[in-house]
Amino acid sequence: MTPIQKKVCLVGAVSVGKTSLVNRYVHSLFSEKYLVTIGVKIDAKTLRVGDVGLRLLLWDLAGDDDFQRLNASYLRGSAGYVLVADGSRGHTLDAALDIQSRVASAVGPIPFVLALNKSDLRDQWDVDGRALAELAARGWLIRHTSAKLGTGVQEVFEDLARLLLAPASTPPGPP
Amino acid sequence: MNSSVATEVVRALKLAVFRRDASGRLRLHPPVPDWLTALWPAAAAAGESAHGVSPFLDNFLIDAAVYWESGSGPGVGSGPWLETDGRGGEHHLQGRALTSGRHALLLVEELGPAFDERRGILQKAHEVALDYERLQRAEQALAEEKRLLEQRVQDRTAELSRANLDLKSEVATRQRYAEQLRALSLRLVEVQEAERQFLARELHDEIGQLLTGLKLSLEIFLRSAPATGAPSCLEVLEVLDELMQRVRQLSLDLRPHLLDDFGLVPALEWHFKRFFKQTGIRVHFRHAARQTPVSPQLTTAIFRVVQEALTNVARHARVPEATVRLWTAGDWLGAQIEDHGRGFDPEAALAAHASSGLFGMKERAELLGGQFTLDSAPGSGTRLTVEVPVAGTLSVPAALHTQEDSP
Ligand SMILES: Nc1nc2c(ncn2[C@@H]2O[C@H](COP(=O)(O)OP(=O)(O)OP(=O)(O)O)[C@@H](O)[C@H]2O)c(=O)[nH]1
Ligand SMILES: Nc1ncnc2c1ncn2[C@@H]1O[C@H](COP(=O)(O)OP(=O)(O)OP(=O)(O)O)[C@@H](O)[C@H]1O
Ligand SMILES: [Mg+2]
Ligand SMILES: [Mg+2]
Repeated sequence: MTPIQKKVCLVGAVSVGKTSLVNRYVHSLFSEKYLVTIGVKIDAKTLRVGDVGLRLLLWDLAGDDDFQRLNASYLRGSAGYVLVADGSRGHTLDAALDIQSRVASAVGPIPFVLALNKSDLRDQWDVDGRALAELAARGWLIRHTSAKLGTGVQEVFEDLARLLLAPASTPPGPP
Repeated sequence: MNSSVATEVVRALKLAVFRRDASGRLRLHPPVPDWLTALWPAAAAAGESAHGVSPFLDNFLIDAAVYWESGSGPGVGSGPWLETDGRGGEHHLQGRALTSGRHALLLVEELGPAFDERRGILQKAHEVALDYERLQRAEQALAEEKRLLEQRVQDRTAELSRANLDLKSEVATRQRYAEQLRALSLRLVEVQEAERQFLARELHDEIGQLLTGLKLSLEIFLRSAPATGAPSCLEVLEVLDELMQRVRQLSLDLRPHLLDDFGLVPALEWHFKRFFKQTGIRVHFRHAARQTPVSPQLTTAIFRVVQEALTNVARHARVPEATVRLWTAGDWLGAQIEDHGRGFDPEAALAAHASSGLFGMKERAELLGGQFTLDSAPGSGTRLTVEVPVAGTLSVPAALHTQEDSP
């Protein structure tokens, strides 16, 4: 049986670990060396959710900053996205909030998971716990991840996969 | 441009050129670049459609189609993206939709050295930005630490100045207490002395007079009727004499009236005589011929000190004699009681707090703004010196809290 295929984008500020999360998840690899992503790189990974096979097309997008702005046409056709922030750089969470609203206005209210990456850098942790609690209260799904150690990485994609397969909670509206 | 030259240019640029036909299919136009063969061998072999080989390209073709339909403008670009071929080789590609004459064209190029350069610059720019960010964070952390430290210093300073204020008021309170205590002690000594004086007078003048009267009456009665009950009357007379003697002694013990009537030197001389009679210890009295008149308070204090010191000599020194010196020097009145007896350790005796004699003397002297000095050691006698200012009776302005330090 051919699996269902879904497009998933990884978005977030520069150097938060989008590429590292994909590399960890798809290739079980991690590198300390930072190689800036230019444009887009697409990887695929098949997983099972219950007895459904799901093929995720992972679009690893360049970090959004003054050098490279998030290109809305890359988001087209996404079923969901992973919003990534760097827990050791608090401002990347603010950036993630901004990016999320831009993504939502480009592709609508599709499912997403917030990955607070670099959770191994506990001593440099720099996120406002209250802000997180507020997001959780808004219904955001938040995962602490470490692409370096591998913790929470698989869970992020599995969480999102479940959301992608869940029946839409919003009414479809008139045809 | 000559078409073979064009072909060479296309080859040199590693360009894949697709042309859209009437059915909307994209046909690959030779030459086919090597990277395309490596990436999408099937498409290369078929020489046509770029559809379905790359999700990225498929997505771009939606934008391209919109452009081709509108048929205007300089074309649209896909932006760079990265593909990995079957052997793991990476290819940075970039697509462009154009129209040339009536033709809708899709160009896909493999990005070469120029892109590597751009990538290097971007990499560097990002690294610099991240370094700057790190620096800013460190600076912020430092500033925060500095702020906290300053706050702590401020808090501590406030705390200290508060503590200082507390301490000052504590000192003031203690000073006030010490003054009150001193006034109270003085008052106590005065009251005690007044009481003694009153009792001594009462015993001497009233009881003494009554007893004398009684005795006279009894003697008259005896003379008038010598035979009647003579033996018991004589006994009564004896008891009466004894009683009068006791009352006199008691009155003197309480306060020798000589002190009030004649002053310190006669009172002391009288006391030494009486002391010798009671203890067998001879007192050598050395004093100036003329005495400066001093207040009754001072007279009493000195008298009491000498009295107490001599009692100590009798009780502890085990000597047949002692010397008492009395002098005035400037505004100071001094008295010294010396014996060559057993001696003792003054510090230990004062620290023991077991007795009140030495303390009483010290207190009397200090209450009058004077000094109390005790020289003694086991086996080498005892010399006790008291010096009080003649002017200093009730009001002694000397700083009270230094009293403890003075010898
Ligand atoms: N300690 C730690 N470092 C990480 C982790 N994830 C990524 N990094 C490091 O963070 C840097 C950036 O990682 P990338 O994965 O390239 O980040 P990115 O979000 O893809 O960056 P851009 O694509 O340029 O925006 C690299 O030096 C990684 O080694 C993590 O979980 N822990
Ligand atoms: N002249 C002295 N020669 C030797 N020892 C002395 C002499 N004067 C005082 N002492 C020692 O110092 C101690 C303290 O004397 P102090 O007069 O304070 O107390 P006390 O005579 O023992 O008792 P009290 O309180 O009845 O006077 C005495 O017990 C004694 O051991
Ligand atoms: Mg990246
Ligand atoms: Mg004594």
